[in-house]
Amino acid sequence: MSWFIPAVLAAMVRFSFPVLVASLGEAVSERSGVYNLGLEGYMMFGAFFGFLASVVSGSVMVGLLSGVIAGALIALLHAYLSITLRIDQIISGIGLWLFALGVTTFLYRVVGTGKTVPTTPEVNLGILSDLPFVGNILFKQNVLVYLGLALVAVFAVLINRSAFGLLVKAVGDNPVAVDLAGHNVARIRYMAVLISGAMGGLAGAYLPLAVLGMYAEDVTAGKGFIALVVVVFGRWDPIRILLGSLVFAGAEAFQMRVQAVGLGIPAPLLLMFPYILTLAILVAFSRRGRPPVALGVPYVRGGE
Amino acid sequence: MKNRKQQVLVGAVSICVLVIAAGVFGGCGGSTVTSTTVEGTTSSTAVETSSTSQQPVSLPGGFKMAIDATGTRTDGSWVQAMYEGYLALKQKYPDAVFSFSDNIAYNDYPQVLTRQGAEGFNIIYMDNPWYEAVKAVAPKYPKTLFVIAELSEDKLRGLPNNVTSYYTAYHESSYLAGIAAGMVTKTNKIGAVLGVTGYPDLNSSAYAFFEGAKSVNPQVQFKVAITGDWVDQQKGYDTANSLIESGADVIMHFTDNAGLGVIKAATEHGIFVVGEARDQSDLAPKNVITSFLVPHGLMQERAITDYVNGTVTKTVKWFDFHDVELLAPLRNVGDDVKAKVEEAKKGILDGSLKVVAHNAPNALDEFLTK
Repeated sequence: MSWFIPAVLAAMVRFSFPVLVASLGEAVSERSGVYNLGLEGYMMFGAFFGFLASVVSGSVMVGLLSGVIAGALIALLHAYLSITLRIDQIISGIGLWLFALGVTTFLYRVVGTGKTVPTTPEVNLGILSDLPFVGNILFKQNVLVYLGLALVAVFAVLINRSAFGLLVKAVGDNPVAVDLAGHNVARIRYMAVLISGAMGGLAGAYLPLAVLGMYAEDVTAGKGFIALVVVVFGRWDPIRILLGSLVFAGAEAFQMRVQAVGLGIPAPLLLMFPYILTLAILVAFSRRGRPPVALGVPYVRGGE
Repeated sequence: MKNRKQQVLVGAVSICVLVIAAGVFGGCGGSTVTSTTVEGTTSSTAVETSSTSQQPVSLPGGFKMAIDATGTRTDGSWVQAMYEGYLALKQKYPDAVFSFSDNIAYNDYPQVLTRQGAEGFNIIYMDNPWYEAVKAVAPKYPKTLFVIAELSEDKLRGLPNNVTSYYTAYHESSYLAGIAAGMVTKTNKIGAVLGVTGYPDLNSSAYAFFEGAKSVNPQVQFKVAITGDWVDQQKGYDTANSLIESGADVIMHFTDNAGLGVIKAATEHGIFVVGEARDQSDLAPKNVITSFLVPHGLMQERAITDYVNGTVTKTVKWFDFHDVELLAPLRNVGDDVKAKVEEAKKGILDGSLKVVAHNAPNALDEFLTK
């Protein structure tokens, strides 16, 4: 049984990545006042086009970059629909999610199945990686996991300490004031949505390029929607989002390993555990959170 | 003001176009009549399950058969086997119409069946999640034959006469795979990753797998982990990882699309895996020791011959080793393993070895706590 706790923690860190990175981007976008219900679709685009570019080029780096760009491109469509055309963000988001599901499924069948790609390596820090207990958890993860953790710091600075972050916050709370101060509301929101798309693309690309080494239909399997919940749970703050992703991934890793131990607890109960935990935490902590005032509201200059 | 309205209109139209495009591209059952989008790209592997296929029968003019699946044809296992059967049928009966639809959501089943019934499809072939929908729709289209793969006898009894069920003897093939697993395990721990809990096919398959292993290796311990998901490969990957971390070194899976993750975990840790529904050694040549097969191709053909000859029965038709090979070739194992499996297979064929199908919802749980 000595394997149990380190295994749970190592898997927790490993699997927090997709939800964490997607949530970080989404937090910026929501702070600016734009929901991305199509986040799942951005992840699908990132996963598929990341995979495809990796197959064509044979390079993981090209794959990752393409995933990021693909995510940003589909997000650009969302930005155009919801910011420029002022379509309801929910409708546009769901439309893009279905669009991404259809396009990636179709193209994958055109490209053909059974192709494998190289994956990003695990780090090996020699003596650190061999440390008992913490070695596997902290010093032997996939390189992308460390990138994800670095992104938490980057986003913490971006949101809380940068001029851009301040503008994003202002646009999400009071776009009129930002407009009057001479800033372009639409441009700031476009940038925020693009950041969300790029992060969603990276989060999606992680699955084929760091975990599976291949692509499979519906590879994101709802992680984009969990990310939307984690953003609320994390109150649009990168550090809390990191905690939220770890809690969810940890609960998942925990229940799987309880199953493997075979304690005779009914599997359906264990399978529910991560979701019940997430719900419970959401109920317990959400009251203190305050969503951006203008979240979901299109900005019309001069009112209408 | 007018400008604003125009913009909204343009946006709404573009969203509609996107959604429709997604439906068409995805081959979602609701919007495409025959999902003939891309053929022949899925796999180049031969359909081994139809190796003992029957002679072509002469079909009535305008014969139409639909094959409907919940999952995706690229899942490498269950639905891909259905799809490969469909491709073989199309080749064999070029004059008939065959339709294959996958990625159909559960709540769309009744609409899909109603549409296909109304369009006069002679046969509709699907798997057992479709049971409720068939129950509702089949009485309205008595001329259509509804064939459900893997529907149990008691459920079939309550359905009208134009419904029948073909069942694969998983327990026999899984038992043989279990013998191989019991012989090659070094840690004396073997595991099963299953999509859901309490499912008859999954229960009988995993149960027999463990029994087979026990018959050659009394020390062997068993582990089961449920993904709760047929799609999520990452979940399949990590569920398999959890079994591997707890010591298992041979794993069988019954998780369709999510099983691609199970196989990935096995390759990463260099352990053995038993494939599902079709010979999955194409996905991990060094790790797959064998696969239990589901002869969807043969069962689809059988549906046609039964329909044409009027030999449809109201009882479940079992497909076992007498009808078709149910175990993929053994790979990566020694000759002693092959000999042992071959011997057991002979026993099953001549009746000296009886493997029981434990289909009850709690059968596996009881076995594990024993």
